[in-house]
Amino acid sequence: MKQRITRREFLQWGGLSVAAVTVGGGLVALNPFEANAVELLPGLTWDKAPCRFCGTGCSVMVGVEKGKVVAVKGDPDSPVNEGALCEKGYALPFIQYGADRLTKPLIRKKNGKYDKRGKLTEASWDEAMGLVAAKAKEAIAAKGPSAAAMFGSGQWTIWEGYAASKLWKAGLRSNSIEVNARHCMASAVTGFMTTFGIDEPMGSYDDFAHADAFILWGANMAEMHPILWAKISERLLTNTAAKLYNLTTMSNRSSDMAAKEILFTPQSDLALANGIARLLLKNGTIDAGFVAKHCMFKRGKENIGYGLEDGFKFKDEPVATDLEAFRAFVEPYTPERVQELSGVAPEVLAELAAVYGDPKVKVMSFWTMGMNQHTRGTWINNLVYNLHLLTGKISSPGNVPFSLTGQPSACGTTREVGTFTHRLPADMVVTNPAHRALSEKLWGVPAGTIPDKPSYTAVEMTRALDNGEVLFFWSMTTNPFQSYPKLNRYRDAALKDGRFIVVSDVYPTRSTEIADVVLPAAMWVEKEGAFGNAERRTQFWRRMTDAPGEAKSDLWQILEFAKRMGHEELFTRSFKGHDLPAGRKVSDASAAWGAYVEKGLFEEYRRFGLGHGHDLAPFDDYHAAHGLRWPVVDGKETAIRFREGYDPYVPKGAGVSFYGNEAAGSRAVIWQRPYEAPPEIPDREYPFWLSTGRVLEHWHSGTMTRRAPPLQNAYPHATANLHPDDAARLGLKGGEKILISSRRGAVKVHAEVGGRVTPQKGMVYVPWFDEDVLINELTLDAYCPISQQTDFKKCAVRIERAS
Amino acid sequence: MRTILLAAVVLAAAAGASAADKKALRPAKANRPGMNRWNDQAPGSTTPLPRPYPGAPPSVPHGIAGLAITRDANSCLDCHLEGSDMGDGHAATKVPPSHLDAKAALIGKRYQCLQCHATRTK
Repeated sequence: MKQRITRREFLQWGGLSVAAVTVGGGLVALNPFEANAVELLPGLTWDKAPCRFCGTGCSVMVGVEKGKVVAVKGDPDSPVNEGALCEKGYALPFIQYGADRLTKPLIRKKNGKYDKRGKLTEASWDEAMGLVAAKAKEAIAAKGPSAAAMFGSGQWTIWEGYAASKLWKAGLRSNSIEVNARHCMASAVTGFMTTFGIDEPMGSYDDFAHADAFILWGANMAEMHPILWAKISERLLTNTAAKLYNLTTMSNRSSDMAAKEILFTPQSDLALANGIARLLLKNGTIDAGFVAKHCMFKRGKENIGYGLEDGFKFKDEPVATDLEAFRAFVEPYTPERVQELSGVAPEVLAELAAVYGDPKVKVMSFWTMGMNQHTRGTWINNLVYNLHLLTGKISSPGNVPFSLTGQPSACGTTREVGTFTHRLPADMVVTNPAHRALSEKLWGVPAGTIPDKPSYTAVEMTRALDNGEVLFFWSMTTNPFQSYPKLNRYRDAALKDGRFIVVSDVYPTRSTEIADVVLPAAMWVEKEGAFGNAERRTQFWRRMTDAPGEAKSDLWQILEFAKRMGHEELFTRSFKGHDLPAGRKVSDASAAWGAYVEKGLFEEYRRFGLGHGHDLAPFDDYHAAHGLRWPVVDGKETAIRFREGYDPYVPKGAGVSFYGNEAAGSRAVIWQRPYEAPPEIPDREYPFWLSTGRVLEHWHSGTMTRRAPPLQNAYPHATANLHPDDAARLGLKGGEKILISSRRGAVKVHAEVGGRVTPQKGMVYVPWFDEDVLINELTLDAYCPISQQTDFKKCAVRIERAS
Repeated sequence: MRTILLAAVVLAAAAGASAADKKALRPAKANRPGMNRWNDQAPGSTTPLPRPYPGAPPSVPHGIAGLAITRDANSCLDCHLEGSDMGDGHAATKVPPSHLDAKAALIGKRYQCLQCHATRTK
């Protein structure tokens, strides 16, 4: 007798006003807790903080009672989430209180002394930090500054990343600092830099309310970016003409709101984008005026390799071309050839080209790991920008190619602070003498301090650990020995004699189990922090609770290490004049240094970006606002970059200016990038594609979410999702235990058939959150030669029933 | 036994250790894959679950197989929207006022019920 509410009926609900409100009044009794946690929980103190999880950057009101986080609610004043949170956000009160929280430093010891073959044993901070510093000095003495490596993440606060970067580059004279963001959005960065000459999206979340078409390029936003998905859902429900296209390698929840689910063969997104560009030219639906005025054309090297060999090197050599050369370049991408490569029918390709080409349709394209974790990640980023540039659908309300991020401060910390081996703050790089000189000046260190060459990107860093060139490896706010590709090699590398592994974390993980020293960390509102989200919004929070036991913030740890490495002075001068804030709890780092270290570091850091498109507001402004989107000039944030009237950096009368490429006439680049096959393709021996990823309920390696009962109860274990036809062919039923193997390793996991995610035939999907299913033992450490970002989405595996 | 172990350690130290030796040195926790036992209780057959804390969205007590939230229809609203009860006297928890706009319409941003209301396995 079930009746479905149709969309029309849903919309008509708007008409049922008075009666429903009356009825609605009665609902409060049925749901006594729903309406407002602030009123329902008197006696709590509430303060705002950005969510600890994804890159959306929802603002959360955190309720504290007797020194403990007991409730959260969506921040109603935040334009990001407007009072809403997803189920991970609502689980935030659990993440600090898992039973096995690390509370004391641990050193691997035998007979009371450090021994790589010993057992993790409780130690004092003094002993642990003394050992860490001694081992870093030993590594540097043996193999030079690049032998001591720091591996951080997009979960570092802005000042943690900044302090680590400054210590490594200006103090230790080492570029051996990298972040898990290399595995996550390095291709997004190189995509922005090669096309626009400046990093990060031009648009913002304001655009959702204006768009007519949402095109997902391998991004399952319904699970991975729920609050942004809510914005899309609202637009689709209130604007009947709006449409969503889900370009994907697997059926997923994002298809439920789609006009079309478009399944394509892994890697063929390159062909699809070029095929659409070809049709735009053929149909005459490009914006020729925009292209002539604001774009230039380039091509780079082809057959660029996959980074599979140790010490792999690549340098692109861009050559200027023109529209006619571009036309000739895309000509081979006929609908028939695109169909051969992708499986996408010509009429579907034509429909996509019509959406991109219709001047009345405002288009937002979205991507995350599908395009970034790709051995041609930079290229596919370039190619989707091509579609928006060719049609002029960029930097105006509702028109934006939108590269999303997966970590709360992938943008704010890793990209903007520049915590990569090759980067410096505000889009500067170590290979540029002027950038080094400016950084050395702002850091007050002698000319020539910062090494002029990058040392190791993420995968190269662990290869160097294996090969004995890196001897000291410290990971913070990340779980590399679960999250790295080709895990067997790098876990073994960490266990080799002479390698010293330090892991700062909040719970025991797959990384702490192989560490030589484990440092207990303070997390989230136990410290004072700042994150930057995917729409360039910088958000601050204050310390609200105490860390358990002897746990210390990563900032405290970095600064204590700096002191022991003889670089105290590098930081005391940053803190000068920044007195401790009065009348509230200060962070452990500020307490230790007797100064407002967060403010000192931030005020110094923002000097890197002032005046050239990366302006951040003064420190205190962020505590007053619900986040501000940079560039912040004269107190005003920027919702849309490169467009006059929105972006103060666009000269009067220019209309549009891609000023990141100022030296080349402020034009964006339309790139000729071909389809090239991935390095490992299913064959007779290993007949399935393997793709890894996330699920809605869990985040990254599950360290936090698996300790939150509502999430863990909802999705306890990683499963291997299979297409029903493949399962039938293999004689497998849902729930059966299977063995998945690649050329690099094998794991046992239970099969899920026809579940929430159903891959296309010939593919298996295994999320990586589960430490009992180390799926990265199977993945390949191939990477995009330009970005050096790993491809976790494609390798070849075999499936059999497990005994 | 003791001698063998000692010999293995000495050998490993001398040779820089093979992968197998290193695993013996630092045994990693065994992989124990688990199975998700999805909730298959029919809507209407369950009672509401307590909220994790005041203000938190309640988890979904019943199974969700076969239910869908699409652009054209939202299965959850079949039972959970006021006035849309199943006619069998069963009172499903209703969408609260916080999810409704001034005209008592469900706010579009609240349309994706399952992104906030967690499901439960057995």
